[in-house]
Amino acid sequence: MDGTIALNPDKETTERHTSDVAKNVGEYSTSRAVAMTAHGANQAVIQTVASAGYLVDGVNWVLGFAGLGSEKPFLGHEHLEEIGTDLYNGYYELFGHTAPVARNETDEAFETGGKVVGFIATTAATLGLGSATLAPKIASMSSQATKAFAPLVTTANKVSELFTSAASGMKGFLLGNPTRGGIMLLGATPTIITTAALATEYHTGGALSEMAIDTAISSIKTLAKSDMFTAENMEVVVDSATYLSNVFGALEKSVQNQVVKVAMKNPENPSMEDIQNGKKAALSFLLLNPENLIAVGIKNKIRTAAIDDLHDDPEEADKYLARKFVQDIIDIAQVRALRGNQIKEEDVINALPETLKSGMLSAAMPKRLQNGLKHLWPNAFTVPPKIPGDTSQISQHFNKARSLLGLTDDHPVSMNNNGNNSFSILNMLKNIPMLGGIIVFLQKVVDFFKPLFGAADAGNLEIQTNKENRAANIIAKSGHTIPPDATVKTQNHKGGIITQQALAPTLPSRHDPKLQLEME
Amino acid sequence: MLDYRNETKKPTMPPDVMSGAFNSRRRKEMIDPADFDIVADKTTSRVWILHEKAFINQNRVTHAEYDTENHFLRFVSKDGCMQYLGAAVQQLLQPHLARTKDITAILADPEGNIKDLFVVPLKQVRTLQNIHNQGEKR
Repeated sequence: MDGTIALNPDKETTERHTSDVAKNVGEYSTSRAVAMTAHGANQAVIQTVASAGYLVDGVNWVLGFAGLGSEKPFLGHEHLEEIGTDLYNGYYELFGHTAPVARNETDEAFETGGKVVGFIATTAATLGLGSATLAPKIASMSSQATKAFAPLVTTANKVSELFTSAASGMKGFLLGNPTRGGIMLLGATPTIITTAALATEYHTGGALSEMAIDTAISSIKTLAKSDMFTAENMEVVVDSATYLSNVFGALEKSVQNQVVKVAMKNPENPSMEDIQNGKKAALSFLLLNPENLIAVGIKNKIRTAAIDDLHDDPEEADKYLARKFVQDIIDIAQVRALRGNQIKEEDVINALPETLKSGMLSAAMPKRLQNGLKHLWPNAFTVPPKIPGDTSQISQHFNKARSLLGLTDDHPVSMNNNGNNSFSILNMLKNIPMLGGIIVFLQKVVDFFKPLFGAADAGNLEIQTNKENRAANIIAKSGHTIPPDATVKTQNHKGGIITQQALAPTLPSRHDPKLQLEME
Repeated sequence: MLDYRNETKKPTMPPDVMSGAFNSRRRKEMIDPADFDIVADKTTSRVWILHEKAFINQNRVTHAEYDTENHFLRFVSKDGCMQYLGAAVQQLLQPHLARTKDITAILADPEGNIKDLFVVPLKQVRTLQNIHNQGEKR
C-alpha cells in the first residue's frame, strides 16, 4: 500500500480499512475517556493540595501568633504546591503533555481563590477557629484556637508523607496498569476524602472514616486480583487507609465514639443502663469541649442578635433561643456507638444541671438563653451544679478508656529534676490527642480540688487576702457544699491581724456583728 | 475591723524591682494585690494561688520562686517573663511557702467560676535579687 486509497477497493481491503478506522476510533474514545477521568481526578488533587496548603499556612500563622511556631517554616502551601505539581507532571508525562502546561494549570488551580477560601472557612469553622475568631472575649481563645489546629498540624505532616509516597509510588504503577484512570482515581480518593472529611466527618458521627477505610480495603481486595498490583502499590493504599484512621483517631468524634462504647460496657447489645451511661458519657465529653461550646455559643450569639426581629415577645424569643440551643447540642451529639438510641431533647435537659452550669460553659450560656431554658424546662436548674459534672461513670471506666486511647501518662503533673516542668489544663488539652484530653481533664480537675475541699471542710485553710469571700466563692461555685461551721484563718496582704472567721461564699461586711472575728 | 498595727516593716517591692533591674530587657509584671489570694492547708502546707486575672502566658509559666528572706513570690514563664505577686507573703502563710514544693494557681472570675488552673514547681531561694543577678551574669 502506498498510502493512497484505491478508488475501487476490493471487498477485503474495504473491510480491513473499516475495521481499522473503527478500531482507531474506539481506542481514541477509550483513551480520551480515561484521560478525562484522570484529568478530573488530578484537578481534584490539585484543588485539594492547594486548599490544604493554604490551610497549613493558616496553621503556621496561628502557631506563630501564639508564639508556638518553630524556627524552621512548617510545611506550607508552597511545599504542597510543589508536591501537587509533581503529581501533575507525572500525569502529563503519562499522557504526553509537558511540564510547563502542568505548571500553568497548577497555577490556575491555585488562583481559584473563592473555592479555596470557602474550603478553609468551612474547615476552620468546623474545627472551631472561625468561632474563636468571632468570639474574642471567650476565655483562653488563643489557646483553644491553637488546640483546634493541633490535629491539623499532624494532618499536614501526614499529607506531606502521603503525597510524597503517592508521587514516587504511583508514577511507575500507573504507567503499566491497564486501568490507569481508575487506579489514579483510587490514588486520589484517599487524599480527597482526607481533606474533605475534616469538614464532613464531624457531621457524620464518625461514619466517614470507617467508610473510607472500608472502601480502601475493598479496593485493595479487588485490585489484588490483577497481576499488575504489587505489594508496593498496595502499601500506598494501605498507608492512605491507615493514615486516615490516624487522622480520624485524633478527631473528637472517633474519641467520643470509643469512650461512649467503653461507658456502655456492651455496646453491641446494650441494656437500658448501658444506653444511659453511653448518653451521659457522650454529652459529658461533648459539653466540656471548649470548641463545641464556642460553636454552640456562637450560633446562639448570632441568633440572639436577630431574634427580636422575629419575636415581639421577649419571652418567646428566649424560648426560641433555648429550643435551638438544645437542638444544636442534639445535632452535634450524635455518635455512632449510640446507634438507634441517639441523644434526645430530654437527655440534654437532664444533663443541664450537671454539665451546662459548669464554669466552662458560662461563656456559652448568656442570660437570655438561661432565661429561655428556665421557662421551657423549669426543673433543669433545680439540682445544684457540680464541677466538672458527675464524673462517677467516667471515672469508673477511666483507666480502661485511657488504655484504649493510648494515654499512658499517669502523672502529667509530676515534676522532673530540672524544675522546669509545668502543667496546665490548657497545655494538657493541647498535648494530648484531641478530646482524649477531656477524660484526663475531668479526672484531674476532680483530683486537684479534693485537697482544697478537704482543707475547707476541716477548717484547715489559711488565707492571705484582701477579698475575704473569693476562696469561698470558688469552692462553692465548684459544686462543693461548705459545712456551715467551717472556718478559716485570714490575714490581709499588708500583714494585718490574723483572724479566724466563717468560710461562707457570700460573706457580709466584716462590720456585721454576727461575724465578730475571733482574735488569734 | 482590720488592724494594721502589727504590720511588719518589710520591703514593699521585690529587691530586683527596687534596684532598677525591673527595667531590664526581661519582662516583669506586678499582679495587683486585689486580684489574688494565697491559700494554704495548714496541715499539708499545700498552697494555692487564687487569681482573677490571667497570668501573662498563663499556660507557659514554668515555675515559681519564693524569696525566703523578703517573702516575695514570683512566677517565671518560658520566655523569661517574671510576674510578681504584688504583696509580700505575710506571717500566716510564710511557713507553708517555705515548705511546699509546688503551687497550684487557680484562675477564676469574680463570681468564682473557674477558668483554668496550672501547677508549677516552687523553688525556695534566699533572695530573688541573687537569682536575678545570677541570671544576668549567665
